[in-house]
Amino acid sequence: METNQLISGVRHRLIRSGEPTLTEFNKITTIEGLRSHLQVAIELEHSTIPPYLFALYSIRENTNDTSARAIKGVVMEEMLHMILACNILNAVGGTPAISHKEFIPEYPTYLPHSNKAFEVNLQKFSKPAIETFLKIEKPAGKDAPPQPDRYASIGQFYEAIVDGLKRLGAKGNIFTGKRSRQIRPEQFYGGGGGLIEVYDLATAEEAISEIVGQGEGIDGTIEDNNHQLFGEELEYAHYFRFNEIHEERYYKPTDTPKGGPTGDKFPVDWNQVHNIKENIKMKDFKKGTEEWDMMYRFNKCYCDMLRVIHQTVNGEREKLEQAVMMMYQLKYLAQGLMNVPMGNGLYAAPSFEYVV
Amino acid sequence: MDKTTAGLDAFLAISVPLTGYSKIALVATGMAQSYLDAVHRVIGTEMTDEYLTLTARILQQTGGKEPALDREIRQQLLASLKYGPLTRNIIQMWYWGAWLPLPPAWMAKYGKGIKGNENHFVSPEAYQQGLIWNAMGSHPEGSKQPGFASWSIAPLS
Amino acid sequence: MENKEYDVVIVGSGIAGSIVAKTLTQAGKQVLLLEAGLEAGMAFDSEGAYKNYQDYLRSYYMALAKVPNAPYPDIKDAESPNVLDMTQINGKPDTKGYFVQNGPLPFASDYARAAGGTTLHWLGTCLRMLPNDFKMRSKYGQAVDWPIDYEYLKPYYEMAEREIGVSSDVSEQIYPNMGNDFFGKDYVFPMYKIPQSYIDKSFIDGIKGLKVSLNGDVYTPECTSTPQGRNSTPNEKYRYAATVWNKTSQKLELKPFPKESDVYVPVGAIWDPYSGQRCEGNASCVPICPVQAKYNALKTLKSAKKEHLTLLSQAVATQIHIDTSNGNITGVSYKQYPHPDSKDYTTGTAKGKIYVLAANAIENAKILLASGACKTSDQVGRNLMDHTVLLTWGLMKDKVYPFRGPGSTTNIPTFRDGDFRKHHAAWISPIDNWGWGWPTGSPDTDLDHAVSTLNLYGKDLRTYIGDLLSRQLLLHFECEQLPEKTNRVTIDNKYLDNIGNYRPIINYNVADYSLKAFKASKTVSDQIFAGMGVQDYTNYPANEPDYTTYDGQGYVFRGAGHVVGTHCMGTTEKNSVVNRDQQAWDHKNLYLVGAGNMATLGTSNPTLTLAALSFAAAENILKALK
Ligand SMILES: Cc1cc2nc3c(=O)[nH]c(=O)nc-3n(C[C@H](O)[C@H](O)[C@H](O)COP(=O)(O)OP(=O)(O)OC[C@H]3O[C@@H](n4cnc5c(N)ncnc54)[C@H](O)[C@@H]3O)c2cc1C
Ligand code: SF4
Repeated sequence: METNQLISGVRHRLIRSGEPTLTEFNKITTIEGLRSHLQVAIELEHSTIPPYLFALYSIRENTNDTSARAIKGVVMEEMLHMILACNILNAVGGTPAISHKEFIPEYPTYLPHSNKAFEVNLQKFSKPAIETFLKIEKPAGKDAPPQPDRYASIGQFYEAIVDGLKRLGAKGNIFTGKRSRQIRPEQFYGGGGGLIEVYDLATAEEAISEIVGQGEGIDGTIEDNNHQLFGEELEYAHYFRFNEIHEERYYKPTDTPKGGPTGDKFPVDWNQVHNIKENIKMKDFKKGTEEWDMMYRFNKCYCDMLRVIHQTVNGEREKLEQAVMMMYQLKYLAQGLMNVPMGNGLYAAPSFEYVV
Repeated sequence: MDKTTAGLDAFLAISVPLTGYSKIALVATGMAQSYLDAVHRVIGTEMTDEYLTLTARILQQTGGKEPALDREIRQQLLASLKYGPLTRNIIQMWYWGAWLPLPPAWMAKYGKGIKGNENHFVSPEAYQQGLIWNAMGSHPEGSKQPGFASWSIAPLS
Repeated sequence: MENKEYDVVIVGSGIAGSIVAKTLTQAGKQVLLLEAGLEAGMAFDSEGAYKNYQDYLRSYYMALAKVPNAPYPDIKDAESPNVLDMTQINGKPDTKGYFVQNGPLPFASDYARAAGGTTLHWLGTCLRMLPNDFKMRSKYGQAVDWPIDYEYLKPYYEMAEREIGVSSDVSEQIYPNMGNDFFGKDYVFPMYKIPQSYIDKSFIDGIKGLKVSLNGDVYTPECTSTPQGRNSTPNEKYRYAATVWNKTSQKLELKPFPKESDVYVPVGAIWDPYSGQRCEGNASCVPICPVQAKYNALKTLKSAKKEHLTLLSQAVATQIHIDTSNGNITGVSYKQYPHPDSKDYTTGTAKGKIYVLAANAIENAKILLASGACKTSDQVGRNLMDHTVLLTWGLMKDKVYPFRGPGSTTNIPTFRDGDFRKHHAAWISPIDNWGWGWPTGSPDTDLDHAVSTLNLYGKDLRTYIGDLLSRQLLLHFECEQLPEKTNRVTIDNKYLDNIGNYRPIINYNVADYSLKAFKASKTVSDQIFAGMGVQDYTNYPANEPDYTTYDGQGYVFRGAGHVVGTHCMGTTEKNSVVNRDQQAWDHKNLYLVGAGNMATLGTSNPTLTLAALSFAAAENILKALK
């Protein structure tokens, strides 16, 4: 893998939040800057997938269906966002990189827009886990002070990208990527929102509004909105879907974001969860034991999947089938791990670590 | 170690050579305890303990090493009128998830008053965790689906 | 209920009933639908629907024999036939199951009485009939011609393919004597073909170049991907959004998408639109698709216009009432049971301007017989048909990994039509993907054999299973049956069910025309196996329920689940029960829908055709209602 100083520096800042900052980063003025922003976007979208999957897997089979479905829906959309970001990057002649060591955050980790306010753990399905998810999905809102040296929210970050696309686009065609590198709408399924083929400013903007819209609710304003946000036919923003689980109530059409959900009881059984070890690592087991081996097999499958997705978004889109197969396999491997006792009533779990 | 885990450990220990799967693979199915419970339920505590004592002795005496282990499993378990049918049941339970009826001759001799000997799946999970599917390079019909188009390429090893 | 008069009363919520209900309600008509199955099966809210379906799934996991009806509730008050009840018939009628089997051979197919009907456990194969299938008399001197032809059905086939969501590539669909405009210019299916399974690819590779002889002619068996009612990748060239009633032209039409960028969106599970947007390879399509990637009629029923649809479940239609002065139907009586097994029930009569029976061919015939309806032709209940299925099985040279993916993704259409139909039945040969499960009960029977007879355990057992089960090949030959007057459904007061409704009495046999096809297809199978180096394990034990002999050779056949022909369509009120509009000759406001209308069977699985016919019937009903 070629190393790009800017990308790794920025990633560090966004994912680990706390590096010295690059002031010029806020305004995108070069195509390289744009591409590195998009690479960061890909990493950003990916970084929440392991914690969401960890919580999802921890739910015992055939229990908490509604919660499981909600979390699964969010995971599917994060994957969609990741692929959308790849499409935009490919459209502007970049090459998405998603299978290198630094691509996977080390949990616990800070997320970018949190401004180091909270850490994200690999945590089983529980109230605290959902609270973290709520923090992840809750954007800073309008009054959040814009930081001179960093983006206050994912929304601002994507705004900077749109701004950059427009600015650079005004100077000449930036959509030089091959169409054949795009992942097409019909290739993605299993979640709300659609994949968008990106080849010009309009489609790029559409792709970004898909990402921002789903993650953050309408215009990032969660607590002061007049639109009807809830109802059977509506796709809620991730925040609200998690909040239903947290409050154990459904939203009803007359609810407001501020008032919270007041509808029917949302069935949650916090006890129907595997008691798995938080932020587990392979090194919790002795190398060479059968247990270590199983942990390794999960991570191998996970990393292989990223490798195949990397190929998929780099011109070999027919590889997606293999990635799908691995994605399903991951779940079954995780389920196996969660039956492996570690003592103290705790069980093993997937650790989402980089292996070769 | 309390008695129940001791039973479970002994059950897992003999299940490894009986099934040809590693201990961790068996543990990962999450079914060990329910299978042991099923054995208990049908043949009772006394005979279960007797059986597990015997299997533990076989493992200990042979040190788990071939060819001695194979000889002892065959001679003391599979060839035994008393333990043969039971051993075959345990193997099939791991592979298929169902309890098979112990044969009438066995019932007449050792199984007076035994209940629950009918053919039945131990639980819905037991069906889904059967080792047979893994052994044939597939997945249980109706569960652990491998994902769109996966069937058009060879299975992941 | 008693007082309200609906525009249309429909009996049965299978695919036939659901298509009519959806089309009529969307055109603004008020519809009452009576369904014999349980209330729980009718849940359309996501929690209720999911919960009910999980119950089905749990029953499936726990069932020792995973037969088509294993997942679905066995309701005493509205029983379903079960293939496990079949036995050989020795002189006396076999009354063990729901059917009273008079023989000489037992009828080998079942159906499901539950909301959504038999599509809950169908496989989903969606082949159109061939042009010559409609002209068996004039072309081959056999049976009868239909009063309609392929051209008539073509637009309705397109509607049915949209409704079911058929996945296929037109370019690969090549059949004998299909003519040069079979699909119409530029036609595409809503979704691309379902990827063919690994086993199919090995088979196709193995059979390449093989020639087989039959009746002195030489054929090259071709393999094609099978069109299926399960979700795949949408075809961006597909342009239709919905089937709608055009009041002005008095026709049903496929309406194009409003925007150029619109694409077909696969219809997911009824509890979650994102579940089952693609087939996930559960490999349990029969009897249950856990994610509902496979079409079932609940998807259609769910998209009916709710405000115009009244659903009444646990309501078993028993009789239709006839105004003797003009033959018109004046009501449908039904018995509504409070619990699945209760002896008691309440009764009611549903009233509408038009009545539609969509209860499946055998149940439709029963209701008509119980009502003394459609008597002129004396054809009600007669001409019962099914595909008689001859299985052949063996071991492939290499591992091909069956039990992965849908039940069947490839077929050999070579013998679907030809001059041989003057002498014997045509057939289609699907390549199966579920090992030897159907004929031998594998995999657990193979396991038991390995453990109990071969005395294997441990690593040797694992290796043996790994080798044997991964090489299992199953072919099947679905042979066409012709309509026979003596293959029929009747009723008798002697045989009643738990709440006093008639049980179907079935007289059934297989004529020489089909038996000859067993012999012919077995010859073809033998040549294929020999040519590919498949170790043949086929055997036909004489104690199987449907064991039969022809020309000194024994065969065992099975049912295909294709229950067809009990109220056939024809050219006159003398030779048929319904006319080309699917309206009963004897009762102007009675329409019969479903495979019962089919005059002959052909070699395609019947559901796509009956779905197309149901759209045609809905159009005729809308015309009649004005
Ligand atoms: C194992 C199997 C596999 C199959 N695979 C395929 C395939 O791959 N391709 C294919 O084309 N076809 C297949 N079929 C056939 C297919 O399932 C049927 O042709 C189709 O489902 C029939 O639809 P229907 O609506 O006419 O009847 P059904 O689906 O049987 O629906 C009838 C409905 O009426 C209700 N009902 C019955 N009696 C009464 C009453 N007295 N009062 C009220 N309601 C009543 C029932 O509960 C049911 O809901 C298969 C069948 C089986 C058994
Ligand atoms: S293979 Fe599985 S997912 Fe696909 S249709 Fe069949 S049961 Fe459903």
